[in-house]
Amino acid sequence: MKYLALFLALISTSLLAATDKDIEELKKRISDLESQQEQLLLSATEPKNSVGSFLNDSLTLGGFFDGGYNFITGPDTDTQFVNNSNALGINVAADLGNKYRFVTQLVNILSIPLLNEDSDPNATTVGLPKNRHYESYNTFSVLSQGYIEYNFNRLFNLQGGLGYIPFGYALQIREPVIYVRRNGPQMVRQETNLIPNLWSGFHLYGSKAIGTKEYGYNVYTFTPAKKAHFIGLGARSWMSVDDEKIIGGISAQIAKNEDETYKTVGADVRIDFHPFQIRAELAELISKEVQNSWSAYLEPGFWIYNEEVLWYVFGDYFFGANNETGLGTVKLPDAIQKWEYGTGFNWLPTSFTRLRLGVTYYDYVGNQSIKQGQERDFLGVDMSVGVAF
Amino acid sequence: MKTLILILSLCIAFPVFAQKIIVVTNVMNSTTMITRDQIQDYFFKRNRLWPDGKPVRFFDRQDNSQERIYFLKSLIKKTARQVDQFWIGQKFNTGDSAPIQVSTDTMTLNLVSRFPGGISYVNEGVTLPKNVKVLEVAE
Repeated sequence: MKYLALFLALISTSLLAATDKDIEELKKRISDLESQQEQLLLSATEPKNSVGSFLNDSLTLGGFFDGGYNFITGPDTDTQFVNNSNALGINVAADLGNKYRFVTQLVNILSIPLLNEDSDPNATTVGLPKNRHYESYNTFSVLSQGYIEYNFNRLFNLQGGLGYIPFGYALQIREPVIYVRRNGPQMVRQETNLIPNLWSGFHLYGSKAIGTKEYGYNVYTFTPAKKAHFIGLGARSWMSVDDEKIIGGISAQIAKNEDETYKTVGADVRIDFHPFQIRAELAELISKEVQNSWSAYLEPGFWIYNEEVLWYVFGDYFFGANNETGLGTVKLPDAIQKWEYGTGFNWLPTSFTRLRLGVTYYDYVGNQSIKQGQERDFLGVDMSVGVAF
Repeated sequence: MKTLILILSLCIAFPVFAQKIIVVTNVMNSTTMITRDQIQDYFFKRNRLWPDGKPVRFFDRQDNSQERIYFLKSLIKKTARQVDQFWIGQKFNTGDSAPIQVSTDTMTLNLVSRFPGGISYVNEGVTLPKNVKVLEVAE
């Protein structure tokens, strides 16, 4: 019995020694692995002070893909269902030290444009179909951002080049993959009639926190999108309260086109009290030559399942006194007043993926709602997927 | 029975205590106290420099880690999804990307100890290396 006890004691001691040795070995291996991972992280996080090779560590690559289907039908609109747009955006940014940065974005689009979008019966005179119509694929690329930035401090940051115009809220997040509604509000689609999409020249911006509030500003130059004659100047000031739960801003622009010196003013508000959110904006182009054009929208939303499924409704108005029908330089004046209202869902299975289903009624109002007997209203259903990477 | 209740209570309470975090920086950083707003500014890269001019290097913790959940809730006041959406927007519009994510306290402390402007958060009670210090968080 004694021998058995001694034997068992010896076995258990050797087993314990072996276990200690294994633990030590595992500790060493964990330490080695952590050290290796650290080296990898360090090489990924530390910017260099020169551009160097294109495969430099300071280079950031990102982008998005957004593709969608559109179904339309109406009293004087043919029922159509097409894959109307696929966009691939590629972002490349380079940290050139701690204060300089270069940012660029190229968007490649394969789309079927909706010809004669406002269903103007006179459009046949400029070679377009009599009513709105999808026809064939178009491909094009757009340089949407390209600037170098110098960070003095939080209050002063200077950019030179071109980028998304800081007018209101929606125009600053121009990427389709971020919009709740696939094409965003009407005001971002009225580049030539209301607000150009890009600033060009310089852009100065900054912000300062005072107490629980944060105040910010943007000052920039831009080129009018229509009949450009002289570079314009724009500015925005904004304020956020309660950890960005409420953000409000006012924007203004002054520019000269071939006809006149005109002004554009706007206001925007975003409210995020999870699970509720509201987006609202207003923009008005003040003109002496033609009636003022303006647009406003209200888009409340409710996260119905965690932060994965958003249900939204919207009302979006556009009055385009200077709206035109046509392609290229041959265009016909076609003042319109249009409501867009509807509802939809966004499903975000991951933070980087957005699947959308939206229904929109396009309601033309005013004395041009029916033109030469042609009803312009129509119904649209959008399905799309957006992926950010 | 009382002992059992006590043990059960401790088991339930333990995860709450386990989530407590401290904000740490490199000892070469002259800052000793930081506000919640400053943490947000450094985390979201709205401010890239410490008051003494050192570049800020924020090291975040991995998604869904208890440390990160507590950090986002108590100091950033945003959900992980909101933070993700913010960085998606930033990546497109400014070229900025989210702070690098680190998996363990040890790695976090090692990285903070390497950068004079390093900042991160670790579990309270973890042993700090000699070149890492705690930043006092003021409201």
